[in-house]
Amino acid sequence: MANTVIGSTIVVDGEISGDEDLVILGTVKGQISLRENIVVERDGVVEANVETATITVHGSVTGDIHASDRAELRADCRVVGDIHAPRILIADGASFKGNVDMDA
Amino acid sequence: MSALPRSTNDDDVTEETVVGPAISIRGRIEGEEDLRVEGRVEGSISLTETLYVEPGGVVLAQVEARDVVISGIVIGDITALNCVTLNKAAKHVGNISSPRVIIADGASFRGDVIMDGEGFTPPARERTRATSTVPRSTVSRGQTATPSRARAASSVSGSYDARSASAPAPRREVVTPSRERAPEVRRSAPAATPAPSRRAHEDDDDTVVIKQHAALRKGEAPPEADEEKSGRRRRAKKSARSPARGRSKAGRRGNS
Amino acid sequence: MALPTAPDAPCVIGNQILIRGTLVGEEDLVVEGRIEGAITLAGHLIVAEAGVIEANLDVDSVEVRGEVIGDISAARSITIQQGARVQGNVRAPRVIINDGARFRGSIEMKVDLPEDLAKVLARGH
Repeated sequence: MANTVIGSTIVVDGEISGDEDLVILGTVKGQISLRENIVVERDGVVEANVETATITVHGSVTGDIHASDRAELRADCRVVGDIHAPRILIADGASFKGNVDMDA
Repeated sequence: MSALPRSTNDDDVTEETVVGPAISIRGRIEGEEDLRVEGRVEGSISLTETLYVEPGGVVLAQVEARDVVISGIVIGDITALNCVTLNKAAKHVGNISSPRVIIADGASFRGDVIMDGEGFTPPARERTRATSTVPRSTVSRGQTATPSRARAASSVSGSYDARSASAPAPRREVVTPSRERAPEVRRSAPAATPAPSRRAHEDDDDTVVIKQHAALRKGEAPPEADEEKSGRRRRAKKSARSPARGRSKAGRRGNS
Repeated sequence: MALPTAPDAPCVIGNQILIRGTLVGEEDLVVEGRIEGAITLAGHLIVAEAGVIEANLDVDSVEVRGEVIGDISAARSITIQQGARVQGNVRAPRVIINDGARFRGSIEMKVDLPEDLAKVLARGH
């Protein structure tokens, strides 16, 4: 079990940093700085600026996303904020409001 | 264990003093052997060995010992050189200073715990060591005129309050409560106070063996338990017949 | 990426993770990483061997195998395992300290004393 999982009833208010994969089923507010992969699950809520290698959003993200590798906005996700990433995928059905910058 | 020659009961392995269930002691207890409290001790306890507080035992005292194993009730601070164990029925209110502390599920405790050796009381290590090197007369810090000559591996000072307190002071400190139990243990028993000095002066063999016959007390003691206990007591009785002569002289001088 | 949506997927803070802030939740949590701030959890918290918590904890129950610096309040029990280190004041109906644990602080459990002893204590023994 190498992953970090923020469970569905968990609310983190503050800063998460580190070097491993992060799965968010609950809520994170504040700041996320990671050099690995983040998955925001369907009911996951992120109200934070996010720095990471890759991020996959099924749930909701409010805040700017800086991904050094890739950002994926999956169907039914809601993202409000700017996205900076060399590769960006926005699926059909995703809801997104903000700017996209792929020059990162 | 102490290097005291054993003139009696050579088969005994452990040296141990037992404060039986119907015994209550007020004052200071010092010793170089295990002490097992099944009754009640108020005051202070300083041992170089292990204090056992058995189920039903009550200790209201500052305790210093190498190890302390609690299955009964302790109110007061405990300083141990090695380990303090609270078994599952233990109740303790007070502070603990010991490198090892074990609290079993079911024990209840309220107080501070310090495990890194910096005691909250005066340097515990030195004090405990002192009990084995300094003449007793010095150690018993002017508590009453305590003549706790180190005739025995254990010494008791302070007032001595057995249920049979009305009886004359037992010459050999073998306390056998009489059948008619004195009313509840009295908190202060001035009448009993002189007992220790008298023992010390008159009886060179003074050996602190606190003994109590459960069978006499209530006639209800299960035989096997009784056997076991009397074995224990026999062991306890052995104690030291071979006191350091110098110590006892010093003590006597101090007393006269 | 597979959805780890198994309802009993354990909530884990991995050993490369640092959280600074507050963590609130109603499920069991395993901390292998580091949390600085505060934790309020209506569930069982396990601080794994490598886990370090510098936070006040308010939990249902907690088992410490790693390190906790902060006060702990548990509705049920606090268990400090061998090798664990805890520094702070702890309060719970049940507090268990195993041999080999390191603890510094105060412990507060409910101690039911016989009446006479309770009086002695009240007098300020």
